[in-house]
Amino acid sequence: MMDVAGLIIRIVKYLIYDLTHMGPVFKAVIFPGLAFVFILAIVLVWLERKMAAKVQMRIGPLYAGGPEGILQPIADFIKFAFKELIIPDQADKLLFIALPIASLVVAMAPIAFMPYSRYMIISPNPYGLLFAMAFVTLFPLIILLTGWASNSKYAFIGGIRAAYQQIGYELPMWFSALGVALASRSFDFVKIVESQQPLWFALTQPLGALAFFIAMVAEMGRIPFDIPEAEQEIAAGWFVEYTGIMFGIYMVSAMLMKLYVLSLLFTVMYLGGWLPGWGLPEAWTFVKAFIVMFLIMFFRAVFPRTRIKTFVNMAWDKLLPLSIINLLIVFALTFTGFYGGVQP
Amino acid sequence: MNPVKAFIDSVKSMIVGFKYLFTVPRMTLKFPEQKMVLPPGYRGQHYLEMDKCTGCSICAMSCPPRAITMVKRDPTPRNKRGLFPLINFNYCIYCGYCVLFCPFDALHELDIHDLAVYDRDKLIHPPEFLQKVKENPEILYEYSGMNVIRTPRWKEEYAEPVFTRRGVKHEPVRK
Repeated sequence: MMDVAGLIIRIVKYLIYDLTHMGPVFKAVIFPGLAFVFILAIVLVWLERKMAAKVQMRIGPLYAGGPEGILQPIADFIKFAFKELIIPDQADKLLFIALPIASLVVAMAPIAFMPYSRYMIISPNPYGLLFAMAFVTLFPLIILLTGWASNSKYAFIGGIRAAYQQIGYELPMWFSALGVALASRSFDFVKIVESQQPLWFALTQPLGALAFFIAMVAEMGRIPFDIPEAEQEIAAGWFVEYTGIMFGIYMVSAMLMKLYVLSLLFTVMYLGGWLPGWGLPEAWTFVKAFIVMFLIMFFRAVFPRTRIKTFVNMAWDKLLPLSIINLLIVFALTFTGFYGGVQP
Repeated sequence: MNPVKAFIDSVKSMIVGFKYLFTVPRMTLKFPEQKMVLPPGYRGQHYLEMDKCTGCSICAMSCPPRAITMVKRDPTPRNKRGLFPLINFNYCIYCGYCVLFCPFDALHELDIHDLAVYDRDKLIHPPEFLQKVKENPEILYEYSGMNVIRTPRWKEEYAEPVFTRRGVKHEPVRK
């Protein structure tokens, strides 16, 4: 018994030390991790609705507590939490229940590899870019599985549309990311950011940045490329059979976590992360990521939706050549020593 | 399509959206507190002048969904049979025929359109009730049991007319 008590005391002591000295638990639970991300999610939901409303001459959330209805997302969450969970008779029950949780895990996993500064990174990893991109790529598989597990033709149409869209954007995205990895000679996010010291990759590889940005918006499933969950055409698309808190989890993972994760990825890969090195590095990263998020949310208020065919045509005709040309240019520039470092 | 032109157009639309974010007036009215100034000739809740009514029943005959029933009340010198219209607003389509065809100008329509009730029977308005509506619109909300929610709005200031602000003009009512 004494051993158990001693162990608990040691764990508590460690936790206190960790939380006060920004150890790994602090990083995972508080700052770049869970608490920060969920607070950000609440603010983002409110901001998106309010901004879309303002652009479209409406008022937006107003009455749900605080100034300008800022507590509306919390009210929505409480509403979702108390709603009935309906599982369709014909659905694959285990998958149907497990997939929302899996989607949240997959959508949030890249946060572990994404640095806010040289030290503010949950899991420092020399292959961080590969891991993050792998998790990002995994998400459409969950969409497809969700459509299949719901055993509903409408959900399945949404899943198929997501798979179809992935055929378009996946290759340009990876080729653009390859350009970044080649220029910085590393898959490590910290090295990627530090090799952007004089000029950001957005300036030295504009074609790749453009292709990655468009592919990224498609990956998020946001307007103008929200083909899987085209609200006006197929209601909620692939998660149309979900109710209550499971629907809420899907909204958080598919709409917000992917927005946040991919905006942060774009910031780190192309916008120089925490550069220029003065001031608070975390603040620089956050401000840049926030501007990217704001821009993508702004698209929703302004642009219409593309058709599937238009998008896939654009991806294969324009984005893929663009990203390959970018890769060739980067390859040529590495021989001239433009990106610094050891020449191959 | 030329991708450069498409890109420039997208940026232009973004700029327009950004302008709208701050400058354009809001179309939405906060309804129970703010009320739109309705154009003249708006067809809403009916109002009956019982001393003008002769009980000719033309309103009931002209009513397409047969929402008007003539009911017996105390006869007056002008209305010797004592027949007055009772309007069932469950059926009324607000076509305005009863008002148009009334030979003695006894029926009118007001700009009251929020007639929500908890009980459908409360939408059947007897003639005495129709008579009181114009002077005292609160009785609508007291009668329907929604007075708690609705009473304050009559004290609030009316909103700037949205139609005129957005440049929409209404044809004047023909007399």
